[in-house]
Amino acid sequence: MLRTLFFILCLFASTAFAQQPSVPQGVTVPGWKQLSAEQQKALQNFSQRWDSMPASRRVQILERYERWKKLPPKKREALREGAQNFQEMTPKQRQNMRESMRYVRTLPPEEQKRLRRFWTTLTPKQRTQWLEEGGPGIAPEPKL
Amino acid sequence: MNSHDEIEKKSRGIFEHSVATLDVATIKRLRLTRRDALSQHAPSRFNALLLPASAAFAIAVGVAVFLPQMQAGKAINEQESLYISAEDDADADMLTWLADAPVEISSQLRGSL
Repeated sequence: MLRTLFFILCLFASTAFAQQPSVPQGVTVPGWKQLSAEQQKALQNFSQRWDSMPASRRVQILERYERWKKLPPKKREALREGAQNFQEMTPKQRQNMRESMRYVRTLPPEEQKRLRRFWTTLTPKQRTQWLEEGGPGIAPEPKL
Repeated sequence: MNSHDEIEKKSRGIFEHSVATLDVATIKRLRLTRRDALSQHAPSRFNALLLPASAAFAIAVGVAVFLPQMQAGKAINEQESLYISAEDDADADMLTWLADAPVEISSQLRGSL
């Protein structure tokens, strides 16, 4: 029983660490005060917890922030709307969407692209229905 | 009439005579020299457009360079924060999929984070 519990804990820990980018040795991850004024202003939502966040998480946020800055305004606006759409989903839909995306990422790139193209051909109602059933990669594709 | 006026009259006479008896080649050369001298002072069409064009170019460069910086300098909002703080790439993918093609939201079943 204890061995099983230990095994589950190890599996959980390895999954959690696998999702975080590792910080190469010798790389210093900036604390809140070391961020530039621009970064502090943009990332002020994280100001209270920044210094207590794991280094890998801070690196991840900084990387994605840099990627965000480089996005063209139209793409940013679309992402804002996508995030808004996500916020308005039911908890069950959100959970299904997350699980679906995690599964999709395990598929070959061509299959990922095909599923994404198929997703865009559906109506919002069909997408919702597909998501209710499990979502792309998990539930069978709806008939068009 | 004093001697000064006489000298002046004589000089003018010599000058006018020399002008009247100029050969064609010299007249042409003088005309071309005059035209060249005038064209150096008169602003050409290109020169007239150069200043406004330079100003417009400088403004365009300024906007292209500083606008993204100004936008990036703004605090990110709740939705942007969702993307930036996505815990893994699958979560970021999820938002890009929804950005391209959203799902239908029932007004009675809206979720809350």
